[in-house]
Amino acid sequence: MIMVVASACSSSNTCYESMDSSFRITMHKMVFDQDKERYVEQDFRTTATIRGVGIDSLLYDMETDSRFEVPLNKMDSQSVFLIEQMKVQEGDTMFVEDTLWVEYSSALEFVSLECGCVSVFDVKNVRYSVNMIDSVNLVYGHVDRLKVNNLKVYVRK
Amino acid sequence: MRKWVVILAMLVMVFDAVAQRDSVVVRKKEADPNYERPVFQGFSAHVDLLTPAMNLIFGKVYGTEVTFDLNLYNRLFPLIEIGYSDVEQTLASNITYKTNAPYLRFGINYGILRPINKAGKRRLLDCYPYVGARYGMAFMNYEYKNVEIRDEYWGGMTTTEYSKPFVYSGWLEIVAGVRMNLAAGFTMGWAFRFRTAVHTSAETKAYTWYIPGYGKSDGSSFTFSYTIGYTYKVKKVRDRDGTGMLTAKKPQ
Repeated sequence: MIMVVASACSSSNTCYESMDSSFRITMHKMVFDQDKERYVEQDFRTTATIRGVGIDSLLYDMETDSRFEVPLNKMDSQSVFLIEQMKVQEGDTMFVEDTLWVEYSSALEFVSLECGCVSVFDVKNVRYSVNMIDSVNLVYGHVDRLKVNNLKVYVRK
Repeated sequence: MRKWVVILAMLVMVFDAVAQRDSVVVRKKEADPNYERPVFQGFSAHVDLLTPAMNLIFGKVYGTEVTFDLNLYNRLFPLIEIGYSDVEQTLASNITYKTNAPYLRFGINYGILRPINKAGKRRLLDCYPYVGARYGMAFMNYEYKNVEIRDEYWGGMTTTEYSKPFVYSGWLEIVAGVRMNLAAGFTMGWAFRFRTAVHTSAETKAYTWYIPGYGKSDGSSFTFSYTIGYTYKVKKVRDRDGTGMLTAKKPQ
C-alpha cells in the first residue's frame, strides 16, 4: 500500500513538451497559367544554405526544400538571416545571396515546471534584399510552438 | 343573513373533512428504520496524519488538514475539510516553484451499511464504511524563481522570475473509506480519494503546478488518507415499542 502511494507521490522531472518556436518560411514562385490566363502561385523547391548573420553555424546546408524553419533571437528584437540559393542559368550553376531582416517583439510563455518557458514572438516587419527574392508576404506574424507558415517568399523567375 | 351562516358552516365542514383525510395519509407514512431519529446524531473532528507525512517524505510539502463532520440519521455526514500547504520545489529545469495557501473542501459522506440487518436486528455500528464526494478550493499565491531563458543558436542566457497572487483553483473528489471507534470517543479512519476536474483562474493549468489540497495539477490523482480524532455521539436509550429502534436520550 505504502509503495502504491509512494509511486503516486513521486514526480517525473522530464520535459516531454516540444519547446521549439521557429519562424517558418515557405518559398514560392508565380507562374503563368495558360488555362486561367493569369499568374498563379506555386511552391518552389530550392537548394539553399541559411545562417544567422554573425553566427558561423549553418541552419541549412545546401538543403533542397520549399519550407525552412529558422529560430528568432530570444535576446534581441531583430534577427538577420543570409539565404544563399543555388540558381542554374543557361547550364551554369551560381549561388545568389539574399539578406532577410525580421523585426519582432517577444514574450515568455510558461509551459511547465519541468520544461520551463518558451519564447513567443510577434513579427512586426520583414525587410529583404532583392537578388533572388522578388517579394515577401507576412501571412501570420505570431510565432509560437504551434508550427504554421509565417512568411511567404516569392523568388524571381 | 341566516343563508350566509349556513353556507359558511358547510364550507368549514368540507375543508375540515379534506384536512382530516390528508392527515390520515401522513400518519400512515412510517419512518425508514435505516435513517435513525432524531436527525442530529453527533459530530466529529479528525486530523489527517498520513497525507502530511507522505507529502513531507516524497514531495517536500509542509502542512496538515482537519475534518469536521456532522452525523445525520447515522447515514449522512456533511463535512468540511480545512488545511494548509506550503510547497517549495526545484526541478531539473532549475526553476523553483513556491506556493502556500489554505484550502477548503466541503461535501458529504454516505454510510453504505444499513443500520438494520435483513433479520430486522440492529447492527453494532462501531465501524462504518462510506462513500462520499467533495468540492475543493484553494486561493493560492504562486511564485517562479530562476526561470532560465537560453538561446541555443544565437547564444545568450538570462533568468527571470514572476509571481501571481490570489489565484483560485477548484476540483472534485470521490472518496471511499471506513471510520471505526477506538475507545472513549476516539475514532480513526482510512480513505481512498480520487481527485479530478481541476479548474483554475490562472492563464493555464501549467502555472498552478502544485495546488494546495489537490497536488500536482497535470492530471487526476489517487491518494490515501489516515485520520484520527474524536467523535461525539448523542446518548441513546433502547425504545420499548418492540421495533428495535434506538432513540436519543431525552434531557432530564
